[in-house]
Amino acid sequence: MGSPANDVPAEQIILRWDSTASEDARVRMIFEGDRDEIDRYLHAVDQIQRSMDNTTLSEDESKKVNNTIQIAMARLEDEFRNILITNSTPIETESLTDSISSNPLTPRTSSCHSPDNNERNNKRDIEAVARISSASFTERKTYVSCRSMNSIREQDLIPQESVSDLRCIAKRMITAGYFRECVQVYGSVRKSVVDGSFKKLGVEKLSIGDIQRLEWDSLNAKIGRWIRAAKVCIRVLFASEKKLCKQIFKDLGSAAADDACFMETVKGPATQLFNFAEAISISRRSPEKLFKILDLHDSLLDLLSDIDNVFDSKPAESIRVQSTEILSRLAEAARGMLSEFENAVLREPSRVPVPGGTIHPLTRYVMNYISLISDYKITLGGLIVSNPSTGSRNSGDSPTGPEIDFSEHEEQSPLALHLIWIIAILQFNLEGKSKHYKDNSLAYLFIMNNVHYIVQKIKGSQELREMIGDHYLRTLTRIFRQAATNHQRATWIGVLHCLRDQGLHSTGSFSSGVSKSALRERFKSFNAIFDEVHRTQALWLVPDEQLREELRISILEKLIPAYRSFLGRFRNHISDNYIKYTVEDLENAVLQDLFEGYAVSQHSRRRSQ
Amino acid sequence: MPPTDNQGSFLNRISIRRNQVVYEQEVEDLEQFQKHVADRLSELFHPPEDSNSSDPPETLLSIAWFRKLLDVFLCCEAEFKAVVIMGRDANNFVKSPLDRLIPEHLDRTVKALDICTAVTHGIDLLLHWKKLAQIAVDSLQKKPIGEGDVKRAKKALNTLLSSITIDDKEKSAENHHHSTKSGASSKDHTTIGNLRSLSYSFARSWSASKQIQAMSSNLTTPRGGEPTGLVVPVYLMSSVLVFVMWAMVSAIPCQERTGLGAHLQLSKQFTWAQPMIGLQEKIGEDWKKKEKKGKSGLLDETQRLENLGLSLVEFADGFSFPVEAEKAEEVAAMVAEMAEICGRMDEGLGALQMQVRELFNRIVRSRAETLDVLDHVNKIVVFGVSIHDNKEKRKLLKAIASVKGINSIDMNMNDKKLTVIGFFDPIRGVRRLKKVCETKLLVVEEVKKEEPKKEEEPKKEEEPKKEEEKKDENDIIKIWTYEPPYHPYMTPQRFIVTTMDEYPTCNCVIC
Repeated sequence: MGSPANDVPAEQIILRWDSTASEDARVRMIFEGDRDEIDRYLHAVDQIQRSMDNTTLSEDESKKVNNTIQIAMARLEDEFRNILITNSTPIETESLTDSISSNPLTPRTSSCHSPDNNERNNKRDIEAVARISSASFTERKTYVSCRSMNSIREQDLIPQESVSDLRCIAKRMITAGYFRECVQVYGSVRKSVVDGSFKKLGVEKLSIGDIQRLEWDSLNAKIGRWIRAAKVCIRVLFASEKKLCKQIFKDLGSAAADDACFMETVKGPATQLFNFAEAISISRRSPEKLFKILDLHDSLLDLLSDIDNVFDSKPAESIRVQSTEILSRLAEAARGMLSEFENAVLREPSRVPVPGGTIHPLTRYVMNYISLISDYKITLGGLIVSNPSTGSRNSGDSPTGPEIDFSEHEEQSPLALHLIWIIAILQFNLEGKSKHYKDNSLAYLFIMNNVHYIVQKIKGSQELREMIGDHYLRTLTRIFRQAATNHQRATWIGVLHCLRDQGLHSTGSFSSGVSKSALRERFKSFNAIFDEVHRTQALWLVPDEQLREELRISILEKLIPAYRSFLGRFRNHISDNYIKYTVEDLENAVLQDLFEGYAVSQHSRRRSQ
Repeated sequence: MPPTDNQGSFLNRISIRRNQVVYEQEVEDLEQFQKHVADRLSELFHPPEDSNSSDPPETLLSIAWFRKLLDVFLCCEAEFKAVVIMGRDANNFVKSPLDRLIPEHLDRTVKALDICTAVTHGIDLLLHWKKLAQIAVDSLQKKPIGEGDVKRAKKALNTLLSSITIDDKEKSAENHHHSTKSGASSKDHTTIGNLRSLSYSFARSWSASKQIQAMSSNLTTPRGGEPTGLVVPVYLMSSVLVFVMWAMVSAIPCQERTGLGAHLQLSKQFTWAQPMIGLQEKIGEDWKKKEKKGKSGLLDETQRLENLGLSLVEFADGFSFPVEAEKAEEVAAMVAEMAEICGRMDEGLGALQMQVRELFNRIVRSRAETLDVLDHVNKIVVFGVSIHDNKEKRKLLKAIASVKGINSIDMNMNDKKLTVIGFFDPIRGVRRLKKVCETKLLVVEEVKKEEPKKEEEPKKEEEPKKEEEKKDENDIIKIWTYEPPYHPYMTPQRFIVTTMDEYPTCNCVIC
């Protein structure tokens, strides 16, 4: 493009494209046209700029050049904006033309994930990708997006050709001292593109007030969506914006032009993105939110190094600060929720006994909650650094909590101590609830069932077992065994009382003097008491099959030998009418009916007659 | 009012002083708090003129003034927390009318947080304006000044002015957006349009003026004779909060300000209210004047930028070479002023933004601490509900049952009263219930110490029971020990009873 050496044509070229001068120049864009025209124009601008440095210019000439540059810059600003606008499709609908992106991706592997964690994240990411990869994606890009979102994945937001055009323009604007205009245009266009991408990703503009009003269910869903969106935003969207800024502005001008443009673009959107997490972190604490908060905390923590990476410049400091503030607030919220949970368990006030002494819903709830906690062992372990506050907070006058000596558990982590504490509180609460049973024996059965359930739950989870430790597990085992024993004693004492020898012998000779009337009474009361026990305890429940069997066998081991020997000794002294049960009857009644939770059937009653 | 009793409070270490607090001390603290606030506010209202400090007093509604105002707020907040919230037993807050005032105050703080966010965005917009003004300043300060420079300055100023005036107006930014290629002037608008839509930090329905209105509408002056001395401090804190937020919204570009009241309902009866009312009246007058014109906000710097911008554009329009010396001087003076404003904005806005953030953080922290105190109160709440049949009743019970922390619910169909007991937020309860029918919050009361007593009762029973158990055990021992020697089966039973503890690892479930 043989350009003439004198600058008259250069000025003419610029004036020809003065958009304030002619309609044609206003409507047509240079960079949408012929490559030659573009080169010619850029060359003309360069020439004019060079002539500025020429000190031999007269005042008039200098003014003229000055004016020409203004016209050229206004033009370039328009061109710059126009290129940006034509390339302003939000991230997901933007199609990558094959001519560009020689090396669009710099895959990195992240090593900070445990495999299990990775899998979880991947699953989420695939979902996220399903959302963002619309039909317009090229095959290649979809493939790329399907890769895990665990590290920064920059994409080319604008075709390489346009990027180099933009860089050409930016370079000239900055040389001419028009950097401010350049940043303004760049920032305003790109910001609206990011805004569009946000909409597609489902990043909402919710105020804290809005979030306070939301029901937990919908908030729950929104948190999940946010986590997915935030990953894409930080690792793809913002990272790509940053890359774009680098491509266009890197090493242009003296100041860090690329950082300035990047911040101009993403400061608002980034703040908006973090607003949500912030609002969640200060919402009211309730135990059921804990795990979602932990999810949020986890994913933000996971993102933190990438946030630091993407927002590494000085002007981006506020964003880095905000994200760490949110993180610590989430941690604080998680801690608060755990202690809230402890309080809730301690205070759970239901007084109506569960029928049959079976497992209380609270026990199930708390144990499920605790197993979930153990799933979050790594995160929570890092957050929970202080031992549980075992003192009651508000009313110090009445002992409203269990007493537990943590000195026995010195080697355990604070989180483990919290779990032990929660179980201790639960057990304390259950003890209180057991007092509402009228039948002592049923109260023991209730404790046995529930503590046994706790023990089984702990044994069932490797994590939980390790955290709780054998020492406390033994304590718990002891408790439910003691309850089982107490239950048996409370129930069978009366029955076995009927089978003792004492009081049956009339004074004097051992073998001869059996008091018949006393014996009759004994058999009568045995039959009555056993009937009663059989009838009531058939309605009671031991949901764990093994425990039920053990309990029955243990009963039989006491009952049957006593009954057999009693029968053996006194059968001859009394009419068979008084002997209602055979040994087998007893066995059947105990083995088949007790703790099943059903009324004794007619059948079994008849059978036992 | 009982002296504070913070036995067992986790806040002990922060306010150790409160431990020895006696009633008089308490009253004095609260009075001191009010006095301090009054002093700080009047200093803001009538800056001390005799002070030999080199800085002139801050102009009302300038950036520097706002920084002072926020300082005042932060001081008040800190003192409020120390005197009113910290180390208090929650029982202080469950008596009427504090049981209503504190949640209302907390509700206001949430709205204040959102306003803080909106204001932070507004400051970003101010920074944007500053950059545009800086372009104009730089090009007009060129020597010798050329036509190109003037054009450049004019362009920047036009963008600035339209950005200032267009803000808040529902101009069809959309239209401009679509006709992007129709010339330079509309391209400017595109830029602004984009910026404008982005200056919304929340959903479109969010309105700063509505937030302010909601914050101030239920702010009623204490009638006096309240049973507790905390009512006035809480009212004071709410008033200061509302005032500060109102002033910020009036001055700094903020999402949707139309309808912002020029007058706040503030009671005159307190010393601290006087300077606040004075300030409020001044700002309110400005607001009334300004509201009819553009809506750039009352910030001193913005207004001066706008005026200077208008004059400079006028100058640029009539620019012809050579410039008369007089005119040149005039312009130079204006440019110098603009440069000075830019300098101040440069210096002040970043700091102001950080201060707003600090305010945000502080409010969050206090809120959390207050909630922490409140959450530990078991309340009886009575709602008046207007329902007529069982179907509605079922709906209602379902609605209230979904509130967390509720321990018991009782519905009386005769007097249409729903009584709920538990550790929950009554306001939240009202919100849920309102979805079903008209609901009034009638009574909020702390559950009296009956609750712990009830818990004690079973404990008292416990002891006799233990004795019973012991009796039982003795009985058992009697029975178990009374084993005729020829009962070979009886001995293993003792084995079962006593060995359970000794073989804990055995696979069997109970032995």
